[in-house]
Amino acid sequence: MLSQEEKEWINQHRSVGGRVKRDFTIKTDVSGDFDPEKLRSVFFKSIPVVAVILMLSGVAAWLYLRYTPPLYESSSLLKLDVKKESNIFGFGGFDAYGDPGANLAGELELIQSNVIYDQVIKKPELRVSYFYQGKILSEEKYKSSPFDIQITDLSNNLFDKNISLKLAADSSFVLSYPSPEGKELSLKGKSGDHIETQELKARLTVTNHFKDGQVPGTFYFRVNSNSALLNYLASSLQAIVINPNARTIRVSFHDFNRFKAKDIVDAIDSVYLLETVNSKNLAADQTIEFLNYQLSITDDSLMIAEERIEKFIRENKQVKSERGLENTIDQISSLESEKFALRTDLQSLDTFKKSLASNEPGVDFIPDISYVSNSSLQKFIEEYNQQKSKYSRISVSRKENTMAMQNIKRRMESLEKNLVRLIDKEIQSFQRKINSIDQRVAQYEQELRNLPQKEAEYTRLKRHSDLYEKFYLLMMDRKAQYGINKSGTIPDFRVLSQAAIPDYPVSPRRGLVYGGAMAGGFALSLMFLVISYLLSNKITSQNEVERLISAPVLGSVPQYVKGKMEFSKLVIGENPKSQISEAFRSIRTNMDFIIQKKSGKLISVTSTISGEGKTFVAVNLGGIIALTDQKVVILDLDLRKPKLHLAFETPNDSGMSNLLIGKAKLDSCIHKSPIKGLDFITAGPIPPNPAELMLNENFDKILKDLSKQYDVVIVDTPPVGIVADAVMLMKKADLPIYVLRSGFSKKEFCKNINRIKQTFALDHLTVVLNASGPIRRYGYGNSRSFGYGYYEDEKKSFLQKFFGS
Amino acid sequence: MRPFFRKSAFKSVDEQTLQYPVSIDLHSHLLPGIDDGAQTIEESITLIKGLSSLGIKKAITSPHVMHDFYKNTPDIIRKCLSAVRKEISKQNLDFTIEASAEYYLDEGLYEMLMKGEELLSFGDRYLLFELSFMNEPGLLKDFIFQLHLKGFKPVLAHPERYMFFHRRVEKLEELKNAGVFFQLNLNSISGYYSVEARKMAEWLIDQQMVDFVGSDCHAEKHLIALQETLGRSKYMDKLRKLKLLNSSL
Repeated sequence: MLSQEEKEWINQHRSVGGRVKRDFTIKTDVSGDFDPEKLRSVFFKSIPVVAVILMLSGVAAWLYLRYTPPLYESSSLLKLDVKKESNIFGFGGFDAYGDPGANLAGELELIQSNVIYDQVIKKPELRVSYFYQGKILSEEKYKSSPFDIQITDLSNNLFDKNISLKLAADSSFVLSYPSPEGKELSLKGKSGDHIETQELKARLTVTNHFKDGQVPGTFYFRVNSNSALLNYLASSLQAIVINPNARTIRVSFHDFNRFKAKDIVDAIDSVYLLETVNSKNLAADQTIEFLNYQLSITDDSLMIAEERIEKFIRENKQVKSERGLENTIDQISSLESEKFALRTDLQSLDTFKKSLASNEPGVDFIPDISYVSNSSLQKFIEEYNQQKSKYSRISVSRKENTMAMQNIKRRMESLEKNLVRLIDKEIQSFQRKINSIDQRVAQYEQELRNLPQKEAEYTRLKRHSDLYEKFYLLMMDRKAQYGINKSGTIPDFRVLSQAAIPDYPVSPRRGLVYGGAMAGGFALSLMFLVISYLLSNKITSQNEVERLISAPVLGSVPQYVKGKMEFSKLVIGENPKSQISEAFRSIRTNMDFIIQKKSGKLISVTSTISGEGKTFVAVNLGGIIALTDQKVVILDLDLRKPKLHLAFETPNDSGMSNLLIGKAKLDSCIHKSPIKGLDFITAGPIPPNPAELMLNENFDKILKDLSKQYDVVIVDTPPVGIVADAVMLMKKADLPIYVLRSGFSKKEFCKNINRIKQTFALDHLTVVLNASGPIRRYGYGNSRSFGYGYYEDEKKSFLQKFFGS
Repeated sequence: MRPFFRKSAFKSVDEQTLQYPVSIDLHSHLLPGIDDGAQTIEESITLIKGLSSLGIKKAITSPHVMHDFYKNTPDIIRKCLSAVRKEISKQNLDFTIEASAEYYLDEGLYEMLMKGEELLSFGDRYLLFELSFMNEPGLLKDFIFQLHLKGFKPVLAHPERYMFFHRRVEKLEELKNAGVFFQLNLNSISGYYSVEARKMAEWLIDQQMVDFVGSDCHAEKHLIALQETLGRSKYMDKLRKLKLLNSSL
């Protein structure tokens, strides 16, 4: 009966107990071409998951917004002036050369340096931070705290620690803080009380933000240490160049309290302004100091000279000089004054040169050397001063070995070298000038020597006195000039826009957070969709079955939705016009088209594994055939797991197993179904050797007898994937039907079906797709139900359809 | 709202638009108790009055003939028809009723055709048949061929409603080329059956592939739906411009 090849196949697949190995384990076929139908089904199945993902991301965004304190930013816009300062100062405008933005970087450094911060943290309101303790978030009560604490003494370990304070409506409070031993210490008090403990000496008073009768709740405060404040400023302050050509700088500060953010920006602006003015005045101050020193020396010399003249006049009563003599004296006197000025300058140059040569880092600004004739030296001095100022500013906030510092240092060193060289030259030229003056003075003195001695003596004295006087006046003049200049110093920047109290937080931005969450949700959903599409190895549509299986598809049966079906049952009789009846009717028609035999047709119904609906198909197909006035009998040959009796709700006392061992009569085993012309035989008691029973010759005899009585015999076989018996039944059948269930059967089953068809030459093998949802009715959502009686479909609401009710 | 002057210029324009596009309807289930249409003679008359109010003068009603459930023979249908006719004349209604049948294509129908049993056709030997909604019958092409051989003109009932044609219009074109006439259900235009059916109906109208229109009236709810459908100006207007064969009957 079976060919050699077929026997081999059975033997291969039969293991102990007649079970075959499942050789269609996981072989996921993802390389298959794109299937829009499948995508659609995956999509509709994913809708709840996608909805949940989107909802969760929305909730996450909401929670994030709810529990993230809003961060405010206040900012001001500063514009640095381009104008060059008057050259009367020892150093000129900063932007003497180089690009206009170069110094902006330096300004940014200054703004963000401890030079500024040190001044800002002196503000008293920054010293103590007050917070209101909310359920989840705490809120800083900047300048609006209902209480105020004046600390007179605080132990070091309480700095930067949260000290909690429960304030009652009657302005009494309970203060608690961790003791150094780690225990929690509590103090009770009333507004105005002095607190005095080992760690803390303070006085607590309520402010006008405290409202009587209102329970203020729990607060805490923190006494900020300098380092904490500096860190706080450094971490939240930002200064950036907005437009290098316009030389504008934006100073911004982030804080959870918008008033505080504004105050700090204001403070920084004003400290920066002061600092700029001070640093400018520093150079002027040093010049004035130098002038004062020179003045005091000159003053002394002048006094001595005048005393001498006085003494001379006292001794000689009166002095008369000749006109020519006067002239000569005047000449000498002016030459001497010139020489003195040169000497002074020479001296200051020399001092400066020495200090440069000593290479001390603390070289001060080079004072006024405006008398220097050499213009390149002038330039170098300007630049040197400029670098110097930069260096001193940056050195406050930067370490010695940073790149910026190194650069400035290198530049300064080369400048110093050049300066020394130029100063040397200058000194030489000064020396030459002095020499020439000396020569000319010697000439005049020669002339004087010819004068009478007394006259000569007077002239000499007078000359000295005049000299000192002239120089003294010159010095005074210069000093006055510097004084005027200093008092007229203005900052070289303007505040274009003042810091304002921000109305909206910079973060979190509601729109951005929600948008981001939605985008994330969509991305996740898409990922989920792609993954579930790729991983979906289930059959979903008739198209897919047609593509994967070489056997013809008789038709699809929609899913039964009218209530839950525990067991396969006969539903044809319930509603002759239902979708399911309709589907079976068309399967009957198509079946009839394939089987040429007019009577005694044998149809086998099988599936790969149980649960795919073979009993359901067998029973209902039998029913729909019986309705065309044909006699139909259904046999349950799934002797291991019988189901047919459940479908017809009859006891399984005796049936096929009894018949196969010849212990019962055929007629006694045949049951009538509710549908006229539809009979069935249940499986009977489960035998120990079902496979052998099936090979029993009784079976052929039973089939023969039945085909005489009935037009159609339908056998419900065991699943072919598990037991090989089914294959023999399929060989016998005029029409072997293979059932696949949409969304349940795996794609690999199709390969198995193709192999069985080929191996056993099952030319008539056909396929029925069970539980195929109305996937094509995408317009109506993902309802897997058709509803009932589509001829007269009751109009269903979308929701009803959605929930398949 | 239409402008006032138009209303005065063309009398009862609104009424006219709510009229049935043809005066002869060819697909309905008006005969009582032999299928899932009218169950009693009273129901039949109600439906007839309803159709009449829409401007229909004549209906060629088409009871289901189905191998398993509605085993209606020409005799049963004729007997039923004469009863309805009697009632119409008794009530003195201005309505003509004739009967053919809506044959469900299954092996039974095919057998009847091959055996040469009497099949109820209408007009110029038009034969109205329907298909399974779920699965395409394998013997469809053979059946059409056989119908032509026997001298029938096949008319496919509501081609827009079959699921296996949705989004596969080439199959409909193939049928059209095979000489099948198409009968559109008017209610499909308003999406009464499904969105897909509506889309298909619109496609058929756009392609001018509609030969007949029918009400497929089973019960009063179809009449109510028809009233709404007739108000759908866009595709109803397009439909009115088509050359429909209903008037030739």
